Parts: sequence; structure tokens; C-alpha cells
Amino acid sequence: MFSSFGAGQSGANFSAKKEGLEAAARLFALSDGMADDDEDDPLSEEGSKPEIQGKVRFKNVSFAYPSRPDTKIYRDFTVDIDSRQSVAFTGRSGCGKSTALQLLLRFYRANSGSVEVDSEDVTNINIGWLRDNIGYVGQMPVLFAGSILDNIKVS
Amino acid sequence: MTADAADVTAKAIAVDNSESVKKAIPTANAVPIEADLGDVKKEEQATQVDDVEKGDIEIAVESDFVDDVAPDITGVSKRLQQYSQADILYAITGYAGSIIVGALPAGEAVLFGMITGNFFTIKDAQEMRDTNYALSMWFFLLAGLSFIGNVCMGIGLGVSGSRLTRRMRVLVFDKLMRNSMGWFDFPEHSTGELTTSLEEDSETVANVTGLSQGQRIQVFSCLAAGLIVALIYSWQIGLTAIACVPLIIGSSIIQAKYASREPSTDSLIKPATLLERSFADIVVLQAYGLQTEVSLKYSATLAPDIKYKKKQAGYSGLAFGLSQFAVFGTFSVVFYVGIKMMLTGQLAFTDFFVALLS
Repeated sequence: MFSSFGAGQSGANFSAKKEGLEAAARLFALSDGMADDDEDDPLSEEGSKPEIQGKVRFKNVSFAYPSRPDTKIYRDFTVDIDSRQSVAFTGRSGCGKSTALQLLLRFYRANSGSVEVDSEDVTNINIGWLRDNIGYVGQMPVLFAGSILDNIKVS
Repeated sequence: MTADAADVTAKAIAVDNSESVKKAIPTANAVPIEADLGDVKKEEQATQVDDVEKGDIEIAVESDFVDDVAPDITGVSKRLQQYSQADILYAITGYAGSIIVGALPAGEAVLFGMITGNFFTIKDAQEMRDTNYALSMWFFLLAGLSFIGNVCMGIGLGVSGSRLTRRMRVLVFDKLMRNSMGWFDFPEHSTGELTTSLEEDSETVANVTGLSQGQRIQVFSCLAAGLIVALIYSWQIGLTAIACVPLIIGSSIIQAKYASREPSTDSLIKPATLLERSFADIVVLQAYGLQTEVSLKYSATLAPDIKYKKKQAGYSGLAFGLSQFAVFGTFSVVFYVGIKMMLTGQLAFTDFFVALLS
């Protein structure tokens, strides 16, 4: 009698363990979504680390964002930009101005064709190295907490 | 998509183009707010706004919600064990505490039963006083054990549980940040979803090893100690009680079986995503006066949850009722058997009383 009251008072929840395991399963699924050797991992050690001059070429690039595969941003897009050349892209919304930069930074991969820096395909260059060598100012500039000096140091 | 929703998309994109609301992600890439507004029709809105504010209506949801397939949990225990390996000492201390705390009621029953039995069986007043005085001192031991057990349980399991939560959070966050941009574009990987998952799921994981596990161990320790004491004082009463254990366990299983089924819908976005999108695009939302529509939509995304909770409450009520039935049923059977045996002289009063109380 006392034991059954004691058991009742403990507040034990036998479904909690299953809930916990399911929550863990969801978290593991989330973290396992990416393999450790994923070549798009920004911390990946793969790829070359060439001295970068800054010649950029988009060669027959086709691209659609993975979440909207039916909306083609580029079809056979080709452009050559020399080192130290200033280039501005203009155009209506959604025509692929920012996309060019995102492909150059390897935020996404081209579906076909290639994006090259100094004639080297960006997918062959170490992703961290590539990004370290590109100064990127987004449409919404971000200031990190800290002094201006700290912010300059980050970039 | 309805005409209304399409209209809203057009507006959202139009604003997006203007210099005032430039976003870091390109427009083609952004999940349009159209997805958030969905198919709640205008005419329905007109009649439902007031009711929704009172909180007493259900909005017609376009899809029936189906029972989700529970995530695969095989192998998860093993991985969790690996992650909690570092805190094994804390966990062991906690579990030891749980076992002690669980066994206490049985000890209490022994003392209580013997003291009460003495009132009926010992005739000499002085002898009764002396015996019961000595017995009552044993309660100090119980008090001490209770203190030690609860402290061990609280510290050991509190620490091991919270450390596991922290480890899971860091592990998942670490991995998430390394995903490619494309991965984050999918609505199921929206900031809202990820934040909620990281917060809620990590917290829930502690149920596997933390205080919650301690409480379950406490129950087993409690029932085992009770049955052992009952068997020692009267094996017949003990066996009768054991016969009723499957009923108690069965009701727990029913409760556990239905506990984790979460509702899922095909077309509705989750509340967390909607909230995140709304706050992220608050400029658009306010500029076009979409507050009411978005709030209605938010209400709609919460509706399946309410349905789920109702169903859930039904099942846990049923399971709780069953376990109560099991407990009281056990009492009645034990009393019946015990009284019969006492009448036939097979069982002494004190033994019966201790066995019953335990």
C-alpha cells in the first residue's frame, strides 16, 4: 500500500523516456543530415589553396536554387572578369545579380558549367581559403558586437 | 494558391525590390510570405476574427491531420549512452539515490505495521511502550536515508541530465552551422524550426538519463521493495500483489504508447516557421496591414496541436484510470485473501498488516 502510494508520488512518467529518445532521434537526424566529409562543409580541409589574382570566369553556368529547382536563374551564363577590373551587374529582381556572388563564394554549386577563379574551378579550391580571399559586403551590412576595430579584424 | 495569396506575394516582392527592405538573401531565394498566408479565405476571416480572438473556434484546416510515423529510435539509446558516458559517476550516484528513495515506503510500511500491530498484540502497557519506543527510533534512520537519497538523486541526475542536454545542443549547433546555404533555404530548416528543435528537443533528451529516468527507477525500486517485504511477511499476500503487477505495468505501457504521437499536416507550415517569418518580415507585414491574416494563420497552425492534446488527454486519462483501478483492485483482493487467511489462523495480524501496508 505504502509502496504503491510512493510509486504514485514519484511523478514518474513512463512516456517521457520514449519522448526523449524520439527527440534525440530528431536531433541526430538533423545533425547527420550532413556527412563529415561533405565537400561543401565550410570547415573542410579538401581542395587547393592557390595564390589568388582575382580573374573570374563564369563558363556556361546553369543554376537554380535547390529549394526552387523549377525557377532557373541562369541558363548557359558566361562572363569573364579580369583581375582588378570593376564590374557592376544591374537588372530586375531575381535576375541573378546576387546569385553570381553566391556561386563565386560557393554558397551554392552550379548545376552545370563552371565558376572559375584564375582558371581554377571554385569547387576545386579549399572552401575556407576561397572565402578568406574574397571580401564580401552583403546587402544588409552586419556589425558584430564590439569596436569598429574588432569588426575590421573579423574580415 | 488562392488569388489573395498570390496578390500578397506580388506585394511582398514589390516591397522587397525597394531600397528600404533589401535583404541579404536574394529574392528568388527567399521563401515568399505567400506560403505563410496559405488558404484561409477572406470570407471566412470576416466571420472568424472575433471568434478566434475569444479563442473558442476551430478554423477549418485544408488538410486532415494524420498520425505521424514516430521517428526511428533504434540505435539512439546507444548513441545517447556514448554521449552521457562522461557523466557516468553522476548518473550512478543519482540512480543509487533513486533506489534508496524508492525503497523507503516499504521500510516505512514495516515500522508502521509493526507499531500498529503491537497495539493489538502486546497486552502489557509497559512492554508495548518500550517496544514501540524502540521501533519509532528507526524512523530517524528512514529520515536520514531519505535525505541522502534525495540529495544524491537531485544532484546526480540533475547534473547528468543537464550536461547531456548541453552536449546535444552544442553537437547539433556545431553541425548545423556547417551545412551549405541551400540546406537552409528549405522551409523545414527555417530559423524558427531549427531554434525550436535545438531548444525543445535537447531539453526533452534529458528525459532519457536525467531526473525523469530517476523517477522511473524509483517506481521499480518502490514496487520491488514493497513486494519483497510483502513476500517476507506473508508469501501469500505477496503473491497476490504480484499477480496484480501486470495490470499496473499494462496501463503504463498504454500511456507510453500513445504519448509521443505528434500531429502532422501535409500543407500547413509549422507555428515556429510562421512566427520566424512574421518577425523577420515585420516591415512587410506592418506596411501592408497583414497582422490579422497572419494571426489567423498562426491560429490555424496551432489547431492540429489542440486536436492532438485532446486526444492525448483522453489516452492519459484512460491509462491513469486503469492504473488506479489496478491499485485499488489489488487492495481489495489482498484484503479479501488476508482476512480469509486470518480467520483460518494461517496468518498473524501483524504479518498481514505489514504485508498489506508494504
